[in-house]
Amino acid sequence: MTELHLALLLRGPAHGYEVKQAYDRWFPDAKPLAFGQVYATLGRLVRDGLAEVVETRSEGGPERTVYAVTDEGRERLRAWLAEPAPPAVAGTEDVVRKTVVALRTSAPGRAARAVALDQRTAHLRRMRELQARDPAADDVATRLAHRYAVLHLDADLRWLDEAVEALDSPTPEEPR
Amino acid sequence: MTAAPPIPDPSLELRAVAHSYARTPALRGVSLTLHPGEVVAVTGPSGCGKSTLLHAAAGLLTPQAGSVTLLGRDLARLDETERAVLRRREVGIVLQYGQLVPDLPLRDNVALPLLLDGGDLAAARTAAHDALARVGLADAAGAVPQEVSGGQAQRAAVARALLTSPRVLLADEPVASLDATGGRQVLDLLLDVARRDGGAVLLVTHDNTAAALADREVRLRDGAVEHEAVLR
Amino acid sequence: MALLVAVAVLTVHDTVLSGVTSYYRDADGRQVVEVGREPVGGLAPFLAEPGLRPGTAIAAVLLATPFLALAVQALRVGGVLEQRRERQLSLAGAAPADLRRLRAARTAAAFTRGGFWVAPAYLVLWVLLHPALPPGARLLPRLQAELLVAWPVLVLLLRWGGAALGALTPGAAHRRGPLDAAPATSNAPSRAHVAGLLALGLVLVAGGWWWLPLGVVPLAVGAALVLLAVRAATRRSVFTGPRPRARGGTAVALLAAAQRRGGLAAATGTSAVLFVCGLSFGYTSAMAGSLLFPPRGGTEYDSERLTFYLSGAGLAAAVGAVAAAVALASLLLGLTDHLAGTRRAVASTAALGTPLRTLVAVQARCLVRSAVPPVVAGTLLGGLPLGIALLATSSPGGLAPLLAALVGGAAVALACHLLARALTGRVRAATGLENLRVP
Ligand SMILES: Nc1ncnc2c1ncn2[C@@H]1O[C@H](COP(=O)(O)OP(=O)(O)OP(=O)(O)O)[C@@H](O)[C@H]1O
Ligand SMILES: [Mg+2]
Repeated sequence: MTELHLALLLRGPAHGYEVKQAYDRWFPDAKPLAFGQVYATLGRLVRDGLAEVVETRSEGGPERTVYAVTDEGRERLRAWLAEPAPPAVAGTEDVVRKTVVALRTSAPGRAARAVALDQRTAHLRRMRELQARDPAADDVATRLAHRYAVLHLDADLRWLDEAVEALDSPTPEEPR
Repeated sequence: MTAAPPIPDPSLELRAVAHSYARTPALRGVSLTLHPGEVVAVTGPSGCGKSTLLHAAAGLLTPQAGSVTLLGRDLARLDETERAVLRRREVGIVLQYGQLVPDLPLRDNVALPLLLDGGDLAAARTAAHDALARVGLADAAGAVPQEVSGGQAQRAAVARALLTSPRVLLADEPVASLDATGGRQVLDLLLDVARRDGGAVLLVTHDNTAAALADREVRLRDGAVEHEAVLR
Repeated sequence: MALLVAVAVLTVHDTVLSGVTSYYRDADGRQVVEVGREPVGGLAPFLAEPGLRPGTAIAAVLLATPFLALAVQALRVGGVLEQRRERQLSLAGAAPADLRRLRAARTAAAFTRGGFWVAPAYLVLWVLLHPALPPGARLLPRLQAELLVAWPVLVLLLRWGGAALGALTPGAAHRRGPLDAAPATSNAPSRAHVAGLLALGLVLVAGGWWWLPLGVVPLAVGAALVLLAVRAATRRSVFTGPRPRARGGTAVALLAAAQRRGGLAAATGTSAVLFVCGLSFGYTSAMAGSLLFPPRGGTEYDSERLTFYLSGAGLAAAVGAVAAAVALASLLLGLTDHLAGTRRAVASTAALGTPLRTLVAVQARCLVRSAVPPVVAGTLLGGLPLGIALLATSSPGGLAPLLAALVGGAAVALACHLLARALTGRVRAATGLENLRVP
C-alpha cells in the first residue's frame, strides 16, 4: 500500500480525495479505497520522510492537505518496482478449498463433479461479464485489470478440468 | 422501419444424434438446439466428439441415429447437392484444420462460395477483399495459403465463412492458432453474426475465454452432453 | 494413410515406368542405334532406300523422342507425394544419404523390372511389326541370337543406370533443411529434364545441318526444343506463361488454375511430351499430305509406293498416338497424385458446398488446359514448315497439318473429359470426411 500511494502521488501533488479517486480508477476491480486508510497511509509517508505536505488549502469547503513525493519516496518506489512480486501460491483460494472438500467427502464421481461443473459455470459467467464490457470505451488500465481477472479465472477453470479428469481415473486410496 | 419477421423455429436442432466411427463411438445421443441470435459454445476434452457434432450439424456427416434439422430442413431428407447448396448459401463453416485451397490466392479462396454460386468474379473479389480487410488481411489478399502464417490462414478461413452473411455459423476452434488480441478480434466478428445480424453461432472451442463469450455452454464428455449452462 | 497412398502411387508409377522403359528400348532405341550403321539386317525397307534414309532417320528420332521424354516423365510421376514423404522422413531423422539410398533402391528396382519385361515386349512388338506386316512395311529385322545374350546385360545395365538415376534425381530435402524445399521451388522442372530437352534440341539442330535436304524440319523442331529447355530452365511453364492463370472467372476455372499451379512440375513435363508427340504427328500429317497431293512438278507415286509410304506415315502417326495416350495417362497419374496430396483441401472445398460434379469439372479443365495447347502447338510446329512449303507449290496437302491440329486437339480434349470422368471415384474419395482430419 505504501508504494501504491507513492506511485499515485508521483503524477503530481494531490490531496487525499484525489489519491483515492486515482486508485479506484487504476484498480477498478479492487475494493474501493477507504478514506480513513488513505489519510492514515499519507500520514505514515510524511512521518517516514517519503512524502511531504506542500500546501494546505481550503476553498470554501473543508480544509485539504496537498501531498507530494520526496526524493526518498521516489527511491523507495524504484526499489519496490525492481523487486519482482512473489509468485502467488494457491491453496487458500475458495475454489480449491471447495473442490478438495467435495473430492474428499463425496463418493467418487457425481457429487464432486457437480460441484466442479457448477463452479465452472459461475466462473464462465464472471468471465463473460468481464469480457463483455466494451474494451474500447475503457482505458488501458481497466482493460488490463479485466484481462488479469479473466486469465486468472481461466487458470482456475483449467485446474478444475484437471480435477474433474482426476476424478475419473481412480487413484490409490488416500488416507482420509 | 422494417422489423425482421420473428422466426420462432430454431436455426439448428440436433435430436438424439449418435454416431460411431469404425470402433469408436463418437456421439451417443446428443441433443442440442440453437436459436437465431444465439451463441452456443461446445466445449469438452479432446476427443469428446466436438468436431463430429459440428460435422453432423453441417450435414457433412450423416449420423447413424437421430436427426439434424438445419434452418427448418431435415438434413436426412436432402440429397448431396441440396445439402451443398444449403451450406454455401446459408451456412458459414470454419473447420478445425486449414480449409484453404493450396495455390489459390486468399482473395479467390475467400470468394469461392460466391463463385460456386455462379457469382460475378469482380463482385466476388470485391466482397472477398472486404471480408479479408475485416479480419486484418487486406495486405495478404494476393498471397497463396502456403505463404501465410497459420493464424493468417485461420483468419482467411473465417473471412470466407463470413462472406455470405450466413444464418448459421459453425466454427470449429476458430481461434486456436491466434494470439489473445487477434483471437478476440476474430471472435467479435463471429459474435457479430449473432448479435448484429441475428444469426445462430455454434462455437466449438477448448478455450475458456472464448467459450465465456457465448450465451450458453454445452459441455461434452465421451460423446454425450455432460452439462449445459446459460451464461447470460 | 499418406504412406499407403504413396505406395499405391508408386506401384502404378513402377508399372508405367517398366512399360515405358521396355517400350522405349526396343521400339525406338534399337532403331536409333542401328540407324548409324549400315542397314545390314535390312532393318526396314525405308532405310534400305538410299534417298529416304535421312528422312527415316529423322522420323525415327521423332518417334523416339516421345518415349524418351516419357521415360523422363515417368521418373517424375509420384513426385509430389514422394517429395512430401521424403520431407517427412527427413523430419523424422533420415539423413540426405539415407534418402538418396532409398531413391536409388526404388528406381533400380523399377528399372530391373522394366528390363525383365523388355524381352516379352520386344517379342510382341516384333510379331506385330514383322510377320504381321506386308514385306514392304516391316520395321524390325529378323530375330537374332545375340539378343538372348544382350537381354541379361541390358537388365544389369538398366539396374545400374536406374540406381544412378535415382541417386542423382534431386530430392526434396537433401539440399538444406527438410522444410526449406518450398512448394514454389519444387515446382520447377528438374535439371535433368532441362538438360534432356536441351540435348535433344541440339542433336536435332545438328542433324538438320547434316541432312540438309530435310534440314528445315529438324532445325525448326530442334530450335523449338532448345527454346523449351531454356524456358523450362527459367522455371516457367512453356505453354501457360509464368504461372497458369484462370481464364474466365468461374470457380471451376480458378480451382483448375490453382491445381495446375500446384502440379506444375508434372504438368510441364507431360506438356513437353505431348508437344513432342504433336511434333511427330504434325510432321507425319504433312508427309501424308504431300504424298496424297504431290506438289506440282514432283514425281507422281504409283499406288504401290504410295501404300508403302503411307503405311510408314500411318505407323508413325500410330506410334505418336500411343505415345500421346501414355503421356495423357501420366498426366492423369500426376493429377491423381495431386489429388492425393491435397485431399484435405478437396474435402474442405466440398464441405464449403461444392458438388462433386463441379470438382470433377475442375479435373477435366485441368487436364484440357494442360494437354490441348501443347498438342496443337506441337502439331502446327511439326507440320507447318513442310505444309507451307507444300502450299507454296499450291498443293492442298499443305493443309493437312491444320486439319491434324484440329483433329488432334479435339481428340485430346475428348480424351481429357473421359479421363476426368474416370477420376470421379478418386475425387469422391478425396472428399471423404476423414480427410478433414488430416492436418
Ligand atoms: N475417421 C475416424 N475414424 C475413426 N475414429 C474417428 C474418426 N474421426 C474421429 N474419430 C474418433 O472419434 C472421437 C471424436 O473425435 P472428434 O474429432 O469429434 O473429437 P474432438 O472433440 O473434436 O477432439 P479435439 O478437441 O481434439 O478436436 C475421437 O475419439 C476420435 O478418435
Ligand atoms: Mg475437433
